[in-house]
Amino acid sequence: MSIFGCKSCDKCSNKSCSEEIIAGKLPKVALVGNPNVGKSVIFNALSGFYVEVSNYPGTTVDVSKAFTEFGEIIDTPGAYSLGNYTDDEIVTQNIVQSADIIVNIVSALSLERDLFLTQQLIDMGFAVILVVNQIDEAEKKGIYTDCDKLGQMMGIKVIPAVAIRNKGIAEIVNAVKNGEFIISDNKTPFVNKLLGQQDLSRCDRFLKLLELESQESKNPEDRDIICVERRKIVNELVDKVISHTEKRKSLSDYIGDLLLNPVSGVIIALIILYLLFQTIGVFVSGQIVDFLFTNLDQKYSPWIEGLVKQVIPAPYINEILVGEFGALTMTVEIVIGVLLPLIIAFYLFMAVLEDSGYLPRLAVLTDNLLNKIGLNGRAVIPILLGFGCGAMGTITTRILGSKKERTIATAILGVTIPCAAQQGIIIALIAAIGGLKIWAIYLGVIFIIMALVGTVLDRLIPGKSTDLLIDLPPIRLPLLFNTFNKTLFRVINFLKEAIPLFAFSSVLITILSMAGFLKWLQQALSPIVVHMLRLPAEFSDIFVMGLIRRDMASVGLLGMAGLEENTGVLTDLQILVASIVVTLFVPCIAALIVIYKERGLKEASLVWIGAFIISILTGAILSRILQFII
Amino acid sequence: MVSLCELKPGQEAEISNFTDSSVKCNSQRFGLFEGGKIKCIAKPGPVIVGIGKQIIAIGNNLSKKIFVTVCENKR
Repeated sequence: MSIFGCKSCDKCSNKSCSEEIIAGKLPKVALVGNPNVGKSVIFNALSGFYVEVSNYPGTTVDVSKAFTEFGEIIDTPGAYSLGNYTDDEIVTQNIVQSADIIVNIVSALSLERDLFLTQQLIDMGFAVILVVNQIDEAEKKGIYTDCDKLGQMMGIKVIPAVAIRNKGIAEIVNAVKNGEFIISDNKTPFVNKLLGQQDLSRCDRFLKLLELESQESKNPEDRDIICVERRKIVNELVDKVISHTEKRKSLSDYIGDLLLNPVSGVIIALIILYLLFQTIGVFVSGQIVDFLFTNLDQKYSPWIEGLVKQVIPAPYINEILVGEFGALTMTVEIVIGVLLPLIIAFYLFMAVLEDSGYLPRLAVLTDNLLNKIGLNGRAVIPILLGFGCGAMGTITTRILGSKKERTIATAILGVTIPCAAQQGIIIALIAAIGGLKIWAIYLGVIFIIMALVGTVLDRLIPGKSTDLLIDLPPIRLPLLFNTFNKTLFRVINFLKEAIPLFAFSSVLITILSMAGFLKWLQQALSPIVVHMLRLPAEFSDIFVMGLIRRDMASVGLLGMAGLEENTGVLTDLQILVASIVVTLFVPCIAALIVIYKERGLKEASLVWIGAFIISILTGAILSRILQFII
Repeated sequence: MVSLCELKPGQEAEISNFTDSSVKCNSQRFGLFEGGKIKCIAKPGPVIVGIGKQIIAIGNNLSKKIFVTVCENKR
């Protein structure tokens, strides 16, 4: 057995090879493992607080890094294998390629599945330390793992761990410090047969094996043999190191069963949506937003207005900075007063759903429904994220298996899904005009449009959609630290994106307003607004704001509906029609840029034009039909 | 031999084969392999199967591409 196989790597970016580590440079340690094995918890325990989280270039996949006394630790996204099956796997593969040491984390609950990746890492010639996590959860379920025997059989160091109780963390650190990472000789025989004779550097070996095992492999028969042999090795290992005793079902199992039952599952999903409505729609957008917005409007805005007018006595600049749509007044009021509380609440809720293991179960429940519009249950994840931010949802469509699905999901996000900022305001608007009937109409219309867009695209776009295949992790209580961490990073990312766009849009609106363009546009759009939608001509202001950022259109609507001051100009019917039109209206600039980047100019233009036509047509039809109902 | 989607909740089975190589390789990554013992847990649309203590959801179309032999005695 040898430590480090790679002496010189001109083919990859691996700059810190064995000699450099021996010479005292810190190694790159990649944490690799299947989803839901506790990688992030181990990463947090190893890294302390000095963590840098960023998106991996070209993806939405979060990658955390930390520098410690024993090396640079990199967390990788969960992957079932190294290959090109998903975005996560490609990112993991790239990180692993330049790592010196792999800390492979597996769960004692699913060794049979997880060791498949371990064996692949060994076959690729990496120096591996194996951490068997969740030993306690497994023992509660009657699964006992003999870690010493596993280590002997695989030819690597194996550390048992219960990461959430900090057990095994010190042992991982010591193993890295003491150089207990080993390149095992226990490789899959067929891999040795194919690559063994050749004198390959680690990078060459890694790249060759990746090519052999890729989905587009030129020798699918070889790939099959590798898969089958690797599976056989893992099965033998599991047979020898695991002993079972029958245990009774735990509470988590019972809850898991209930969530998957079509009846109780749907009821629980509805309860969760109701809780979401209560927290975001009633408590956050009602009380917290009200409190913050009023304070900012009455205390902060007059103060900054006075200050700016003293320092810069030029009226034009004043108008841009602190006027009606001022960058320092309106932007701050809306970002801090309206958006921030909504976004925090929304992301916190999502993080809890994610960490508790509920999201994949929701994907299962929605699979049949989404199949009808050419998607599978996984699409519920970008759609749910789209309820947070359309741009984020659109980027996440990358987790979908085919181009067709990504296009359908992007169109549905761009046309029908209101983002968190919009929802808060739409929820407030609809709550103000009343009751269940209005809700039923609003949701019904949005649902019908979503089904229509999905069905039409499913028929029009050639190709097949992929099937659902996901792992359902045990139901767990989310760890507070992880949940807050996740929420914090998402909020910061959102603000980074939102603040410049908001400031830009308010400056643009001020300039347009000063140049008289708004008046002109109002008149130009007025036939559509007044005759087709039967709304007041001022509604074209909202269209203009909607072009810049869709949630600002909703904020404008709040003002016109008179929910902030008693200056409302809209009737109940008009508020409902306007809410629907604003929901369906074109994606905001941020979302549009993302659609363009992800799906190209043609699709971005089609989504934009489609959303425009659908929103106006729907509004025109509803304003004529609904007058008999409301 | 029946396809996975014909299993009823509570039934146990052994995986016999897959319709093609890419289905096979993708399934292997999730721990579904020829000879593996599975148990159908529920069918809320997709087929939910247990493999050991692990639970996997398999979409309807995919479940038609995986063939299993039902273990009758373990009903």
